[in-house]
Amino acid sequence: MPALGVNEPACTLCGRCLVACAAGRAVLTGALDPAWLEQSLLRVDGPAPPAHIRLCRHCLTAPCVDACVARALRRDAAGDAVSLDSSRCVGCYSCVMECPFSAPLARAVSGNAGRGTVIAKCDGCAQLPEPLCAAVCPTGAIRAAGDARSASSRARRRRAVGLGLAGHR
Amino acid sequence: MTRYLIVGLNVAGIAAMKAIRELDRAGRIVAVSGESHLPYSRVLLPRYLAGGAVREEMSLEPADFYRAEGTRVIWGRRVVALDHERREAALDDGTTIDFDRALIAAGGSPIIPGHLAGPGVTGLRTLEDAVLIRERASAGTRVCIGGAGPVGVKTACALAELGVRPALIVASGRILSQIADPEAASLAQRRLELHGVEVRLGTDISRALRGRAGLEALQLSDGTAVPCGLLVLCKGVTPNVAGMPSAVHGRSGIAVDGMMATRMSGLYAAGDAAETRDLIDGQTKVTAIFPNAAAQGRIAGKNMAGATAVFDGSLPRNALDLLGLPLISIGLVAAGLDARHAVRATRTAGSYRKLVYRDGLLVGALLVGEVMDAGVLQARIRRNLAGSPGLREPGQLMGEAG
Repeated sequence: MPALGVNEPACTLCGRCLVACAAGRAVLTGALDPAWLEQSLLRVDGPAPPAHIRLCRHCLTAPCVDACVARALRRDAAGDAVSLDSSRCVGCYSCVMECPFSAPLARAVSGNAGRGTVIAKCDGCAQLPEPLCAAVCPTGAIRAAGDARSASSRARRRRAVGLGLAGHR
Repeated sequence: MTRYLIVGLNVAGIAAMKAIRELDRAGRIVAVSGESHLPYSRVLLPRYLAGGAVREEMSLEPADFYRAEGTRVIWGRRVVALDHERREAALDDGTTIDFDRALIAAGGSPIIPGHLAGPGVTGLRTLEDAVLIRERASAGTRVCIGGAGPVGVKTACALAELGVRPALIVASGRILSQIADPEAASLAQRRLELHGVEVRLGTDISRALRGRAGLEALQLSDGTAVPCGLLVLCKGVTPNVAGMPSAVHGRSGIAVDGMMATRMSGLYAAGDAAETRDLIDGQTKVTAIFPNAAAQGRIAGKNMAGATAVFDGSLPRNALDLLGLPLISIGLVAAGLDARHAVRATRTAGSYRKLVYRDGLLVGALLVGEVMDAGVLQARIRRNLAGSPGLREPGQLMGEAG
């Protein structure tokens, strides 16, 4: 999976990433339910620039993975994305406490005792050559480039993290 | 070939095992696990007790993780002595293991004061504890919980979910006194009471009253007595350091530096047994939280395998789901507030949020109800504490390997 790089100052809050994420995944999974339009796996918080892009960066040493008491969040087998097994998520809010990007999003679930809320987050569009949000972003605020584990990608992602935090002090 | 020994196999030990394997494929790892079960997430024990998690979901790693080449796990045994000079550990079955580098990650045990110990009194630290509590509670035994820290409160929530009405006996004047201020604590308490938990504040348990049938009641310090067939004590854990060389002992746990190394060469410690520097007050102490154990174990493992990795220090923090009401506490929120600190609190119908500033910089966040930005606040708190030695740029969150 290509890494996701985020440069919040470039974001104009056009919202294309949100549409691409929600609708694209609805098409890919065959679940063409209008409810999916609410199910984008990222958020862009405004109301005006600078935006706060709440999108998983697939950190190399991910604080959410360290903190996940249910081992629902893991680095996937290839080691290049942080994946979420939502069936294991117990809704403990530990990842919410740890993620410096506020990438985990709350999803209400019903029925399961003690699981009123679980987490949803970016899956990196693992089945696609490029994440949809990055493919439609007109300003480069969200980009996909290189291998997540390559040195240049690592350095770039460190910069992206710095920018993300600086944009949201 | 380096011989690694991991004493205790839970969050910290597993993280170290992964790090060592990644860096030193030729090394030989022996881990000693005190329990015979596949290592499980202790934080999920209250949920297991309430029937909301099954055993498989609690496993930290699948069974084949422990069978990898170059790895041997000795199940159901304890290290009773660690001889640093001979580089040899003695187990409770009389066998010995030689090593070049060892990690002490034996965790902690619930604190059960001597005057209460006996039949009908338990902690909640193992699967067996959880099964015992569930069986007794389901059979109608009146359950009391001593201590209202995160574990006590989660246990009360679990019992409430199970449909029983436990009593929470709290020595302090409020629940969650270490991680919440009076306003947040009262919101949390109201949530517990709404679900049938009886909260007794400002009174401690002075005696366990036992009869022929075992535990029958608790004598409280305020002069009253409460009926009780099972007491679950949640008053913290004490580090498991017995048998470890006295030279590595700190105040209560094992003293380590930023590389998770003890004073003795080749000996490391991580997790609930290790004492690290608290980023808020600068004191060296055990900060027994899950994310610390994972980070410390990984950093210890990297250093043991010859890389260089540094632990920033411990930022006290907790996340709780109180029967549908989330509460997150990070850094300085209640105890230790003085004239240097300013507080900004906001309230809405379903939320209470307090931000604490020291000399104008955010150093604490207490969030109830609305919590989804907690991680961003934590990142800011960490950055503001960066004057502390050893703390690095936030961008390195993702790549601590040196």
